[in-house]
Amino acid sequence: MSLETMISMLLEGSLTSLAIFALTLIGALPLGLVVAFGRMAKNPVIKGITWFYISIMRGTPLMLQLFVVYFGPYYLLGIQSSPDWRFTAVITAFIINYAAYFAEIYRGGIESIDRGQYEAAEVLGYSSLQTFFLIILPQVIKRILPSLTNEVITLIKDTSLAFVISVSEMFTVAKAIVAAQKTMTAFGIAALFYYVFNAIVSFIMGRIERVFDFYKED
Amino acid sequence: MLPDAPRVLEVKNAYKRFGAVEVLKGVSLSVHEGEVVALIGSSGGGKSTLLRCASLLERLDSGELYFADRAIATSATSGIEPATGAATPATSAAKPPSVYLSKQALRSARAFFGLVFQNFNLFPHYTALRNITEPLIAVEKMDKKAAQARGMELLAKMGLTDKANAYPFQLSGGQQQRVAIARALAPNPKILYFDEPTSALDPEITAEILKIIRDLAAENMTMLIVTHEINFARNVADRVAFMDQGLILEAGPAKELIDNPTNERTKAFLSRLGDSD
Repeated sequence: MSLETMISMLLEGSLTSLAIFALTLIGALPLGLVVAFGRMAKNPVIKGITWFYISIMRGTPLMLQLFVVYFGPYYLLGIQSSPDWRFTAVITAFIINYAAYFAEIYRGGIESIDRGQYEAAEVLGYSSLQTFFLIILPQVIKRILPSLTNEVITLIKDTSLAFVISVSEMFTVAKAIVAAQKTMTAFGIAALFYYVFNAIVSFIMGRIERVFDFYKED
Repeated sequence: MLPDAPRVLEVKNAYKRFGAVEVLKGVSLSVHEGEVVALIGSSGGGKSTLLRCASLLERLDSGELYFADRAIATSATSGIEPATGAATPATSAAKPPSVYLSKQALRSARAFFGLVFQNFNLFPHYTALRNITEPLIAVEKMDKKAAQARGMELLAKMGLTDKANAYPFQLSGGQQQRVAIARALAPNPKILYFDEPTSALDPEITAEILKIIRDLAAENMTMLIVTHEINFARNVADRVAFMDQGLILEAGPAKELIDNPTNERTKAFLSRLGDSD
């Protein structure tokens, strides 16, 4: 197999990796906020359920969660899954897993905001929604960006786990090539791709952090 | 102050407890139009809690609250809107619980007063100007141009025109507090509350804030001020109320009360301050 063929196959796989990455963020970033609210809810039932959900997501391997989501409908409910289910299962498992991590980051950020900020907004007549979205959230985002960057970088590497249920993302493709060609070259190229992708994401996150540098906390 | 100026704020027979601690034990206080009232007393005496109840940051367990002629909280027995109010069981056994207006009505009632905090509580992600204009736009639904005009007018009044685009972290404590005063004044409140406005500031900066309050008093702004600055209270306030252990023990004309207190605990408090000066 020529190097060009190898690279083009890996590039094709990388598109799937990219799709997993993007769809997970699109789903998990907002869902995490909802989960964070559940975790901070006054209602003990909601709080308890969210706590349990987060502890399961963080306390068991993502790989195992992938299997449960992928095989669950068949073994638990007897539903014959369609061929499309593989990809959907990956996205579903990733979103519910990452939402749990994001939720804890959001919660930490939200709880770190001084009570005086809420009181100042309240006295000025802001509604709860206005207070959260106009006053609290912008400050939370600034504080949690470094932690979010960490998670996002982990996510890039985690996309390779989709290989365990044979979704043909980049790592799956690389492994197939290595097995067929009896050479490690494909792994090397895949590693380089992951590395470059990570560098790009780090750079973008750094830029976003700089956007929030317009003010400092005193 | 005119002797029969209309009432701006009235708290009647206020009770408030936090867990086992009864912080307000039947406090009554009224502030009339154009009047400056200073609340003095030792820490933990209930001054700040009273101010927080008047700011709707805390709710009375029992007692009544009026903004001018508008009843904000009434006593459950006095007949208006029963049932929905919350009260702690411990006090409601003996005293009728306060019944507050609806959440919606309370939100609009907040335009009636402005509050200046001890720690300023400016929004760090807004410039000085936007700290003033954003609430006007978000809450008062003022258009951006009008809000900016109002913001610049108030910053000019506070001597901060050149700091309009500075963020709070770029301002000194005194400057931050002046922005906070401007922010509180922006919606034209009928009364301005101050919760120990100079406690977080250096002495030389304290003077600059006190001067602003004095200027506001000269413009007949109605104010209720929780303060440790006894000399300031004596010189600027019309009336002073001395609070201790959840009660107003003594209230009266500022100079009279501070120079010749009659209550033993007021005397003790004022002489302690004299010692430390």
